[in-house]
Amino acid sequence: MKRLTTNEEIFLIAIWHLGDEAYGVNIREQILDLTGTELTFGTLYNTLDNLYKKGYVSTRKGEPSPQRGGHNKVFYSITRQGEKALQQAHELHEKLWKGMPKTVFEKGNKS
Amino acid sequence: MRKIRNHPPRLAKRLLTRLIDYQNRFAMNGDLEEVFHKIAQKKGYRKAKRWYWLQSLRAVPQYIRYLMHWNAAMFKNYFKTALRNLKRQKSHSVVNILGLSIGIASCVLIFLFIWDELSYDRFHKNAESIYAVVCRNEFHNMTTISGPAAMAPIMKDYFPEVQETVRFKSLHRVSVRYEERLFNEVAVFTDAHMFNVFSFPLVSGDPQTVLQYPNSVVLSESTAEKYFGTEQPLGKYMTMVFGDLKKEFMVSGICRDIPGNSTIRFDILLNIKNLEEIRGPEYFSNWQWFDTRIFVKLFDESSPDIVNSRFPAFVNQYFQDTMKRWKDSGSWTGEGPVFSFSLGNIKSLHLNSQILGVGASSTTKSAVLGGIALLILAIACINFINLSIGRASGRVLEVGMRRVLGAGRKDLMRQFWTESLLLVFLTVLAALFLAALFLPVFKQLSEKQLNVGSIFSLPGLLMSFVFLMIVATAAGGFPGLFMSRLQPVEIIRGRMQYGGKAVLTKFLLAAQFFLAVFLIFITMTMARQIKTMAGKELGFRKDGVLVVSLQENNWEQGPKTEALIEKFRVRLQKHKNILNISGSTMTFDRFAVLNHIKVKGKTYDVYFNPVFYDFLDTMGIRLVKGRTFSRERSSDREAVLVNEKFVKQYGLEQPLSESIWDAYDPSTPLRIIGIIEDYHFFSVKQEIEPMILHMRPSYSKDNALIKVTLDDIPKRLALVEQAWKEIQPDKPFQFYFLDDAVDSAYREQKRWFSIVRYASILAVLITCMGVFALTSLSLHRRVKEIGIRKVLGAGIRQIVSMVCRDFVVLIMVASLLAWPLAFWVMRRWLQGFATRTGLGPELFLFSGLITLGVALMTTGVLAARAALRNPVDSIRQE
Repeated sequence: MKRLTTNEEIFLIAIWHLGDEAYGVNIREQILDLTGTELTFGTLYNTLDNLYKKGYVSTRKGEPSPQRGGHNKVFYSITRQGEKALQQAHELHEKLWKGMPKTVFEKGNKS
Repeated sequence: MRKIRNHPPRLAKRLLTRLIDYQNRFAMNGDLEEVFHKIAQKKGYRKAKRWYWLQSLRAVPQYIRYLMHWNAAMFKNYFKTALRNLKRQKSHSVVNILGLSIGIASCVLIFLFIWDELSYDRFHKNAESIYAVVCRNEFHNMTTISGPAAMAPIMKDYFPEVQETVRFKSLHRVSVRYEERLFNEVAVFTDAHMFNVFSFPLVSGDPQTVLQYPNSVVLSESTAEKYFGTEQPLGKYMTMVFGDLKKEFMVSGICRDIPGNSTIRFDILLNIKNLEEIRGPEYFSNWQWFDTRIFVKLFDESSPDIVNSRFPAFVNQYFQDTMKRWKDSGSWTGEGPVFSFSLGNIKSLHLNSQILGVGASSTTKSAVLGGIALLILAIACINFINLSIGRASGRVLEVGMRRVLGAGRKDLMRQFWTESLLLVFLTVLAALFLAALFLPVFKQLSEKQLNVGSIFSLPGLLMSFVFLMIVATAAGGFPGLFMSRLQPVEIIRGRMQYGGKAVLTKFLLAAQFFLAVFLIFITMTMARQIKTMAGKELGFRKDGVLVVSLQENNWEQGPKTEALIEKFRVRLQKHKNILNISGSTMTFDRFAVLNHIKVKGKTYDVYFNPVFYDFLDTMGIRLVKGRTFSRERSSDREAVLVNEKFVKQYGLEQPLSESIWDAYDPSTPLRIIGIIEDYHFFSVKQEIEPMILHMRPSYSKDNALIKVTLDDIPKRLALVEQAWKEIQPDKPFQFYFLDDAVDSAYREQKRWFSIVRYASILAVLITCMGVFALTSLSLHRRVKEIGIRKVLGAGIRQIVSMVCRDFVVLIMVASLLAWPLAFWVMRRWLQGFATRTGLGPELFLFSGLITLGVALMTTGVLAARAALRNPVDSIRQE
């Protein structure tokens, strides 16, 4: 299985945090909270489409509301495959960072 | 629940919906609206709306990329279908592309011509503010660019608007020598600052100083090469002979050859100060000689109108003496001043046919040529459209299929448009190639310096592009419109479109035949007119008359020229192959001398030709009454011969007892001693005018006329040249034969004729190609019908006549419409000629019959072939 990109990783984590409430607007805000970057809707949906195509997320139509001008919400949830990929990414991170002294960067910054 | 009064901006929403729908992301739309409301609650609706707008605009680039992707995909499909169609019907593709490219090529050439006409004198940087001083003379009824040289410096002081004046004065027949190279040239004299005003680029030399000294000379590149070859010309001395004066000039600069589209032309440029010596100091002080071309440069913000409005006062102040002389001589008795000046912008000179010697070409000429070009293009386009329609109707199934699969009208139109764009693109490429190929021929026809490069220059390419779009739209638009209107049901049922009511095709065919008949008519009339003119009795015998220019500048060189002619006589007279020797200033259509002549107390402008003894014998002109000049009577030097027209025009009842007076030298009466038969001294295009032959000693006889036997012209020519070298070793031998001069007088008509002839041949050819292709298309579709007809007993003749009948009717209708128009046009054209041919009924008949014949031959061959086929094959075919 291919490794997740950082972007995909962030998206999946955001969706995981939101649980049942993961739809466009929420995901965007969650990502803003997590990373501090405000995505455009174009980027948001492009990445979501990619995740869907790769089978990491599944979609479900929600109910329309007047706030949304009568448009349905589309909720996203992580699939088994997505969970697995996230797991893998986590393991990779742990492995990579093991034994790295925290002072590495401080030193670098000083000089 | 709170009622939402504020919505996201409607327009932005609609835009966004449209963009998003394409990407199938309806959820995003809802998201955006939700966020919109959130922002609205926090920061107010204005901010929210702005944000929403921003979002929707952001989506645009993506949308465009998306559209292009799909269009490219469709285009690929259209392209592929188009290519397959081209390949499947090879002969039609060839007819289509070749026909239209011939049409476009001829258009390109003719538009190059017009482009050149319109581009005259625009290359000067100061063209906006350079004006020519245009003189209108009421007495001569002539408009020229002329004025006395003295006028220029005064003008600069008188008119504050005038920044600079530049004079040009040309002297002809200046013999120029460098070592052994000796030629006769036209020398142009101008002010030293000429190069600052006009943009004639110098190859070497500084424009400020190049003409500074009186002995400087500037040569054009080609002239420099003529004299110096590979030598470096700068600093070399050349000898020039002006009449009796011999002067040395040093080459101080070389200028680029004058472009073909320049009114001002020169090869040898000298400082105008030299004229003081050559023409005498009065050249610069005289106000009577209107012999200098004056150009003025106005200050950039000045208007010529102010100058024009002050010209009458200017004339009053400075031309009083000149006016008085006109009045005193009795030649001008009309109201108001006899001449007036105005400024004409240099860019407008060439297209002004009023101005003599400059407006060589008129706008009408360009318009006629442009019209012809458009005619040919129209014929070719009609072919293209007809064939596209014809072919498209063979593709009804494809169109039906596309419609069933969901193609809309727009898609179909786009498909046909794309297809014809592709075809037209190929065509334009072929056309540019053809145009480049035929440019040399066209250059000869048009007598212009056009070059291949200008086709591929920016305006040329731009023009081709415009052509491309227009023709493609016209040619693709019709079939597209036509096909897309068809109902799919009708198509699938297989209803035939051609052969039934193809009104548009028939109309267009008729239009083509109309143009063909029209052009054939014009060509035939022109051919007849030229034949009539060439066959016209001139009134003199042109064969074997050699005209040798004696190259004296001044018209008062009478004794000198007479001496030269006498020397010729002494040397050549005894030779048995030299029949006669004489002299004359006017020969044929080249150079005319008009003089004020008093007849019965009134002054007229009459052609006043100085001749020498034996003129009538040499030219073969018949004497009607009286006698010719005789060597025995010295009083004949003050006697004249007049032509019959003179007698008729001025109503002389007893011409042989009348006298006339030369208004410039009225001391002695000129006795009329004989009347000669009218002869054409101008092209037969013109009426014969009154003319006087005289032998006054002071007038120079410009040419020696030598009549030789016709048996061995080169030998006779060598003989005369030998004599010239002995008589005038310093001057080049310059000659022409009278019959060549006569022929070249029709050159203009012949040129027009050949252009029109080519045009009509092309038109008929292209029409013919179209008829061929259309017939074969329709026959292809009627194979079965013909087979069945044959089985039922129809003969070849019936089948051929069935196929051809349509064309016969169309051609008849087209001819009936074309004849009156052609007749009217040609009658107007013929009115410009004194000698004209009639417009007989055979012109009508033949123009129709030729078109009919050509069309029937094309269709007939095809029809016969179809009729000869074995019906078993054609009916079995599925």
